[in-house]
Amino acid sequence: MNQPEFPDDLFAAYREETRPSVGETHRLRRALDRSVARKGRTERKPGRLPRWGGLALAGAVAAGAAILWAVEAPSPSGRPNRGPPVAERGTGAGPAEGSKRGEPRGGSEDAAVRPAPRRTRMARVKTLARTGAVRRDGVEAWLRSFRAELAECGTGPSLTLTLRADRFGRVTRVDVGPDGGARTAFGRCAKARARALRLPMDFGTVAGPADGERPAGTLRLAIDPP
Amino acid sequence: MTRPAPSPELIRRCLSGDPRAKGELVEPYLETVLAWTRRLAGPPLDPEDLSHEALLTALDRLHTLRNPADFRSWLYGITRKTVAKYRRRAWYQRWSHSEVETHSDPRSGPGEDAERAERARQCQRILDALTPIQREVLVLVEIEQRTASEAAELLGVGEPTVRSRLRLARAAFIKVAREQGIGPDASTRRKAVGAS
Repeated sequence: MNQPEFPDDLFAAYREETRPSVGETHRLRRALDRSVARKGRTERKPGRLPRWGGLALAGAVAAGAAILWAVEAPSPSGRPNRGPPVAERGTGAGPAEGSKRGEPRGGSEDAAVRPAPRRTRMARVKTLARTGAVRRDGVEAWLRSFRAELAECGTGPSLTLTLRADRFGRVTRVDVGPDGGARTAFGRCAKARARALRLPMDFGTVAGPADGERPAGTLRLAIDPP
Repeated sequence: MTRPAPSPELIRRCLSGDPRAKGELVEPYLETVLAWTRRLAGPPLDPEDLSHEALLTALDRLHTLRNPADFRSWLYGITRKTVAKYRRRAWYQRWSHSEVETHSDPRSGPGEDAERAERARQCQRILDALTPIQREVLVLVEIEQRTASEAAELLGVGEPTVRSRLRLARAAFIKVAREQGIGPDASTRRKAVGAS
């Protein structure tokens, strides 16, 4: 029977190229050591809440809601804790009292010359989906790191930014879109920032899981530019 | 390539929660599991993440290991299921932006490295086109150079089954290679025969 020729060299090349390196083995060993050292991680089924976990989760959600409510509610002095953007101030929204400095409140001219509070320059970030253990606060820190670029972008449509972090907490990939956001000024800014950081690369621990938590994850964010 | 199975004493210490014993248990298999995950999953999935997950799952479910002598095949089964689980998560495919990583061999020149990397990429493309069953039997026998009996032990099937799967996998590999216009290197040709 005429057997076909078998390409051994392909397998030999593949074998060599896919052989685990010393560095990879070392990283895996360290990650496993951390995971095993964390008491409890290997004593329950992954992905399943521990006993009383549901109750603890509900408590955490309730506490978060209470904090949000407290932030949104007006303070006893009547001044809002978090007011509308500067451009909208003085148009009737907010209490009638003036500010602490005694500046007259209200009037569009005043609003136009007053510098915007810093936080209004920050993009509003909303989590759309999350896999793994990428922490939102870490990603916000990542966004804050290019505040200046964000401020220059001006206004624009919202976009979705997806960050992927490895289990060591390093941002390994930034994806802008897929809703066409990459073409916006903000999207270009985020992309340029990622390129400037030469991602994928070691990026500290700004966005990612704590030691020993699930290995990797992605975070999809809706971002309203300032 | 074959490692001795862990001792029942080591397993018992792991089950009692000794972290050092857990480290001792998985240490000899780190490289093996890394190679399995990389070759079974391919570039879209991170082999380190997969290995980490597979080994943690193995430590989690150590109480389900009935016979310590079967540890290797039991671990292979967990690795295989972990790879399958991650592959089902379609979104991981979106992050497919890498090719086979190149580990440069200091003994070879850059030209040889590039040629070998290209051949490895070709092999990767062909393997990606095969079914998981065909892929794993080729990985175990052709790439990891295990005997048919070793592969049968890892896969939990009989040796005749492995030989049969191997024959079909080789035929499928050659067919896909021809479709993709990839030919064998003249210096290393051999006839496709049964399992070694």
